[in-house]
Amino acid sequence: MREGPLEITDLLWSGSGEPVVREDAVALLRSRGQPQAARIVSLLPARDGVLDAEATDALGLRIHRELQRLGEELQLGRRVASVVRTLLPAGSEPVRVVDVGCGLGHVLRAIAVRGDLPEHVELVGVDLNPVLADEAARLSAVEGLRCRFVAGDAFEPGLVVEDGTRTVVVSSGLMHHLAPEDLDGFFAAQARLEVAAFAHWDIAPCLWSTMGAWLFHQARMREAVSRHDGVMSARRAHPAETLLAAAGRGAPDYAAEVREGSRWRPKALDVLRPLVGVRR
Amino acid sequence: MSLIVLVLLGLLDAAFSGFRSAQGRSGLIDHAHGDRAGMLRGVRLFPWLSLPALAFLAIDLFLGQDLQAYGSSADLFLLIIAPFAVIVLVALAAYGILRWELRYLASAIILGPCTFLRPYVVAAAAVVVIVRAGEVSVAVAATLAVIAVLAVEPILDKRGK
Repeated sequence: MREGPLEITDLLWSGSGEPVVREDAVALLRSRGQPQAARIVSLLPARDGVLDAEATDALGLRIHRELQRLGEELQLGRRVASVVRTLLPAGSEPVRVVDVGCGLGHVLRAIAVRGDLPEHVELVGVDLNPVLADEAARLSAVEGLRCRFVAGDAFEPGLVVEDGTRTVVVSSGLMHHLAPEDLDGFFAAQARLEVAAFAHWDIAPCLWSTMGAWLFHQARMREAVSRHDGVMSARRAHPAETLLAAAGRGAPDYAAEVREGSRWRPKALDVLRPLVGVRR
Repeated sequence: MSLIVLVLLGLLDAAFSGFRSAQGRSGLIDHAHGDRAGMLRGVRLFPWLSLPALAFLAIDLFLGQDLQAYGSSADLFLLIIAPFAVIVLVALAAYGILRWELRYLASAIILGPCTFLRPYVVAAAAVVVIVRAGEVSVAVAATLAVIAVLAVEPILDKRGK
């Protein structure tokens, strides 16, 4: 688990599917100097001291629906499509765009609704949390969209990346969940699959983004967990140098760049900026 | 006149409150239908929440209070919140007409911060009006009206859970 302050959502579901003991989560947050987060978790429904799985899943869905609202305001689907369009391998053979940690699949579904990418591009979302992946699939079916969603590890060979050379991997708001020491492995996994390119959007860390995150989550979010984690996301975001260094070590065969303005003169459009890597 | 404008602004604000409360509910990409339904819920709820203020106003006028006292307070209230309302409406228009790369700026720079500031601006306007009027009846009516305005979104949020 990442050092320093934690997001509450990192603690609500165990990776192994084991029940989460509420007091353990509360104690962990207290030990990290996060009394407010500990208080929020202590109020979550539990049975015999274990977080109520059904209520936690419902909370997770509510949080991700709220999060989608911010994605809409940031025009995230269009942003991703505008960059991915420039990264697609040449030719008219099928290309797959894989959204890692897709949540409710807002980005891919927004692209599919508008037809922002060419017909030969297949859109596949993947999330470790099966509740989110299932809901993304349900929404996609309801909307009659040409994209699919699966639960699992995106970098497990064959799960969603079959022909790496014709795959572009994207994510949004994922990298800050990873510890700096895990970033190398994140990029290395994509290099091992020989993906054509990757583009990962995340918050540009600075005082403005932290203040903006606080204000926007106060104004827009209803769930206490969302309000807390929104600010923590901005605080935990990795600086461009950290991301570039990790990409250089993990995926040395890729030309990587972080597309953002100067730290001292941040461009308002760069609140969420991509690290883009293209296989040389 | 100002009283009527304030009521209309209250209805508009209630529609926006309903809109905000409807956001992030379904997970659908196209949620225009839900947005419209949310706005209608806000507009329908506001008159009910305004009943205490309106009833108090009616009773006070019936008991002989001068309408002018309320009129001049409404003028002042409007004077304070009108610039705020104009900024929000201009930002909404900008959101509607800007190209997508710039559209979110209207939200990031104006609409988001204004949503955050809205309760404080309304409450501050009420305090100024109450202090300037120096009348208990105006203070009660203004307080009830402000509660009605600010209660729309939390009530809809609670219902939506």
